[in-house]
Amino acid sequence: MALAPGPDLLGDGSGDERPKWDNKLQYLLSCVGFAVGLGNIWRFPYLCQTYGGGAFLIPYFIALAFEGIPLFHMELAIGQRLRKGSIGVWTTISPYLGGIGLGCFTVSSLIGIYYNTVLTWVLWYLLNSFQNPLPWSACPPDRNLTGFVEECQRSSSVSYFWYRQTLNVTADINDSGSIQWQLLVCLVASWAIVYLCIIRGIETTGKAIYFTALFPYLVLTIFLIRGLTLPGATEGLTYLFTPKMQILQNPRVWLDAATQIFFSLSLGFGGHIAFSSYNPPRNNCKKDAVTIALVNSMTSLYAAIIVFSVLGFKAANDHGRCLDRNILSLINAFDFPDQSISRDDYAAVLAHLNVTQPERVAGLGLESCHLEDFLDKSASGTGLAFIVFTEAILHMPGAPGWAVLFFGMLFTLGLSSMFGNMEAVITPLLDMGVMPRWVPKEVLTGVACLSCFLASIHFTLHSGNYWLEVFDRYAASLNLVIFAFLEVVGIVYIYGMNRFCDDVAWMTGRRPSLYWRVTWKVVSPLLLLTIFVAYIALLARAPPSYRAWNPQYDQFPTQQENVYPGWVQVTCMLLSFLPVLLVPAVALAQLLVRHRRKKKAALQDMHLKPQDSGAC
Amino acid sequence: PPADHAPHSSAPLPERFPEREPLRSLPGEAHARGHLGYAPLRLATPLTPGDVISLHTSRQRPPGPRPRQGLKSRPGHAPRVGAPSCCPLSQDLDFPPCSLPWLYLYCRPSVPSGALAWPRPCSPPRPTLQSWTIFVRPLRTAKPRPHIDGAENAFKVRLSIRTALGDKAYAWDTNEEYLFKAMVAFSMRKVANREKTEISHVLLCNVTQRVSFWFVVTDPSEKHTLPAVEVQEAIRMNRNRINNAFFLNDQTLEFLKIPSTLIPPTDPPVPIWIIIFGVIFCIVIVAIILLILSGIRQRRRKDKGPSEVDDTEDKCENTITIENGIPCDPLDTKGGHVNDAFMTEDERLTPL
Repeated sequence: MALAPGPDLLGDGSGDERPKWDNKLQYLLSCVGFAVGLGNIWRFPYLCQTYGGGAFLIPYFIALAFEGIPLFHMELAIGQRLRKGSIGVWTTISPYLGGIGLGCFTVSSLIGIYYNTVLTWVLWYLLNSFQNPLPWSACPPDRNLTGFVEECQRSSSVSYFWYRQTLNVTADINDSGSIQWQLLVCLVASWAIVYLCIIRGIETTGKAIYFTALFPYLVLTIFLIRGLTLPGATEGLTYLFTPKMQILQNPRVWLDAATQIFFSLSLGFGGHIAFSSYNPPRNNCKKDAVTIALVNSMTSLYAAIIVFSVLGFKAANDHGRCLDRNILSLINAFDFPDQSISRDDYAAVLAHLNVTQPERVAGLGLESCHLEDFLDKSASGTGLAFIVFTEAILHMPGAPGWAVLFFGMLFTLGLSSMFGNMEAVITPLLDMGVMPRWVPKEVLTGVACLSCFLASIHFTLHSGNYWLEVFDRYAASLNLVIFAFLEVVGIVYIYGMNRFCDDVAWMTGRRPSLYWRVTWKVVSPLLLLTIFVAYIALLARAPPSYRAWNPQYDQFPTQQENVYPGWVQVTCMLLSFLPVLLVPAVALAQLLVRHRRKKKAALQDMHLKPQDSGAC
Repeated sequence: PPADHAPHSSAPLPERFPEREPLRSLPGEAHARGHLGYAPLRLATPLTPGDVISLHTSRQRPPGPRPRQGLKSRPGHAPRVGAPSCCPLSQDLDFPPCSLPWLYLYCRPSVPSGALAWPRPCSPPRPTLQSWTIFVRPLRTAKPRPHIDGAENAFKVRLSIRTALGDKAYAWDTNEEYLFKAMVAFSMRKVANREKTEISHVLLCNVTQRVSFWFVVTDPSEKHTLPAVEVQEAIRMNRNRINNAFFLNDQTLEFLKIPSTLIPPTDPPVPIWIIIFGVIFCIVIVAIILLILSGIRQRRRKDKGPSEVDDTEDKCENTITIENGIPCDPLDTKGGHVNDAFMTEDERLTPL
């Protein structure tokens, strides 16, 4: 490895002094903002709910201790030590490993492209929240004004607003449709906002992060107070947090906990490397890593409390309305006076009627209303934010205000994650000196934002939602795991564990303890390898399929399970494996370059030697 | 990564609601009263034609006297002779709705535990009656009879006054029924060729505790009922007036076969989201332009005045000298314990 790296990879990209954070708080808030994202709100509570409530916290914190914090510390340390973005760091460690940096860079740009589409949707909902009544509260009437639009009636007004009025989704991924102009307009706006905040790199990001990182916590607190005072919230909390210990025997729980902590901390993007590269070299990155990781997990927990209380309220509400519908059926069928059966009396009345006139009761088609059924309904991802939560907000007094707060919070959460993402793309470009020195940084960030915007126009098509799922599932998940694994292995075994420990000791003042060394050397790589193998196994089990919203489907509103067509499957494969192939590709390229250089040097030596011998 | 679209639901858990003892009042009461809400009248004497409770006829005949039916029992209330008769009934769910060709005009009894309970008679006995039948449950045992056209032209109305008004709910009594008939007559008068509709042409029947009843509109000759289409159209056009007369709305005053016209959504000329989007976007664009301009100005100022030379010292501090691909600093600390007191950046450059 004693070979000089190429001249273009040496030194700071800008030629001037490297930008610095104004103060430590900006750096911490940036890392927290990058780590805390939409997944903390809509993925962690779902996992908690599915995997036995409080019992899920056990594998989660174990994964945090043995995988999350060590990997995070490692990323911060190498960024701070080598003071470059991801590409620069890896070419510094070894030119053959430059592919890892390039791969991280590619994955970050792919993710940045589709992540902003989610922000676009959030922005659209935010803009639509400034009216009373909220547009998703009622179905629109159909053309003759005699009833509601059929699609809306069969599903629900919130689903209709999401699938039809926002996405205008087609029934098939093959059917691309045209561009949704309102989404395009919101996409332009959200990229403009991202550009505004990263226009001068961390100079502007550092100022914007004060708002975007702290505002979500303010809103979460407001929602906590509101949520806990809602009827049905405490039942939701107790039911959903009650640990069901036997679920821990399912290996899927441990896999999902490890995966969640990995993605939640946004490891493998290169964003944390970029952020810490702007730190002063003697900064206690160990304390930072532990602090930020714990803040991230606590935020997840905090958000879970709020989500569960709102879900409890929604379940109580739905249960009450289910009872009301049944009561109305009974009243109408048996001609009892209006409002004569209260919700508490319903069970007794029904029992009595079942005994006396069972056939009539059976003919009514009453729904079964159990509170647990409503509490067990869970959703994650966009389903939670845009369908479940929007419906819960409808029933809160002062709904538009809550909607504005909620979507504002989601927007700022996503925005701070986008900062990290774009930083992971821009810092390596700056370090590599892609643009000549006289080109100002604003132009570079502008070009990066513009190219990402142009690439993300594809997600505003009618089938955009399906494509986003493709990107999310295949471009992001597998690659990040692979790159994190390669990072750990590269640092520990190629850079050298001792050298790395010395670096850390130089930066923080203390040598890493046994815990760190063991986790870096053995535990984390093993965990990452297990995640990777499990992922491949799960993917290979069935042909990849997706759920389509098809009003023509006979079991509508259940989504139709379609298999991806061939060309989409090829795209999935490409997305999954192309970034990883960059690693051996770059290594090979470096090998060839050196080989040629060695040959040239050897040839030059041969030319010189006969001259020397001929000189005497 | 944000998106995960897997909804999840597991099997429902057993019901947790406690079993309570049956209510004393309501269900038993309703059962004793029957579907029509009458207090059972115990008859000491055997049935006479005067107590006829149902009419079967094969002929077209004008509707008989309408029974006086109220929410509370009103003992001693005698039927009016010559009053219009009951409207077609299809309250009983065992009994198919009016669209069937055969129809029974009757006021149904309910039978609590064997005793025959007779609600108020519908009409006085007529000599032209072919037969009269006492209905005992189940009603399906009765024979079908030729149809009277009133059946198809009758509409069921359902009111939910307490849901709409809560504490301010009024009781549904005969006066309210009169008002309802007046509103229906008023609506019919607005239809062409029906300007002569009177309140007495509107017949109400089978008022229940739910507050639901059937009504039908007859023509001035009182021989035929008006076609359903006309009545439907009239009611639809005046639905708002009828609702307002009773302080109800389309959901609380339901005409079961008449769909209501939904209010089209009042869209503002410019959707609100566009306005707010415009505001935000303009702010963002202005901010971007300002930042770019200030950046250009800063750079111009920096180009004019040369930068200070002391940058080089910082540069040396911050860059890692790399020789042969290995950063220099760790080499310093290899082997031996580093005394941090001496390990400061300034050592790199001996001060002048």
